[in-house]
Amino acid sequence: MSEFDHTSLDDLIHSRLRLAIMAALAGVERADFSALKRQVNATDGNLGMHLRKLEEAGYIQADKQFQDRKPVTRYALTDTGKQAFAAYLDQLAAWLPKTRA
Amino acid sequence: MNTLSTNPPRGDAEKRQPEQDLAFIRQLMERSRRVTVLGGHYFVVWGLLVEVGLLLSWLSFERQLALTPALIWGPLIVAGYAYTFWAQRRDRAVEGAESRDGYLIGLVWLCFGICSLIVLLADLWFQVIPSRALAGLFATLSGAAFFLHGSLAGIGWLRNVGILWWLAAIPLYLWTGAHTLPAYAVLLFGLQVIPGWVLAQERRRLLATEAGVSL
Repeated sequence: MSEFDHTSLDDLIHSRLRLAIMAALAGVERADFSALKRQVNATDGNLGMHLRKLEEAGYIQADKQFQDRKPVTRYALTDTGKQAFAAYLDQLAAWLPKTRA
Repeated sequence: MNTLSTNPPRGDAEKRQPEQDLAFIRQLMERSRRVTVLGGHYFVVWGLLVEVGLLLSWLSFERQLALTPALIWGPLIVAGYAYTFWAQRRDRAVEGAESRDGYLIGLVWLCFGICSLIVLLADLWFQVIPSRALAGLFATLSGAAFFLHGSLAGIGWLRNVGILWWLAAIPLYLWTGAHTLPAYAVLLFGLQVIPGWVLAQERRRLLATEAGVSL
């Protein structure tokens, strides 16, 4: 099996935790911090750091609201994030025939 | 327990294979979406409320109770909608996510509720729909709602429940009468309460699994 060339992939998404965040958000319209934490099972600090990186890159957007008087931050993929994620998936898919050969 | 690891396999990100990543992505996308499209507890609660209504209606029909349809169905419908609004708020907080499919499924059931109410009023109030057609009509509407819910959620067996409702509507149209009330109650239990319980269990398991993911 040929080695998978990770260098051709978007580094920002290829990190396992950020990939998990992007995948979890790609499955829904939006998700709040606690739902993402459940999905990817990260600590608050770690998740917050990776969310910030994705937000700074413009891949996700945060929307702060109040729900039952409690602050809730909801995250959603931006159009840029959706495009980057789709491109990442395309690159992965393009590798499949090579690795199966 | 079915868990996902957000750690790179063997701690080496460079050695990951695309198959692993794609499987990981697919699983996470499906899991985050699925919890938003189940909602079986609504089926259970509404199913049981309607069961009570059917039982009371049947007893009234058999002259064992002196209750008007409005007295029977009014409080039950109010109780059902009160539960729905309360549960929706709670679900939003517990699930913490919204999906387009979940939103569309919500609309399907909203449409079902409105259509059912109009049909009920058309019978009870305007008296333009014969009462003997009600069971068949509700079974037809239920079939449509279950079929759409199953299709949107990607749950094949739930889509088939919709088809079973449509099939069940045929004898309800053919053999009308007071016996359709207990017959509909049995159908409701088998084709709504039990599927709802199954979905609610899956939802609970999914939320519990997420909470217990091990890295």
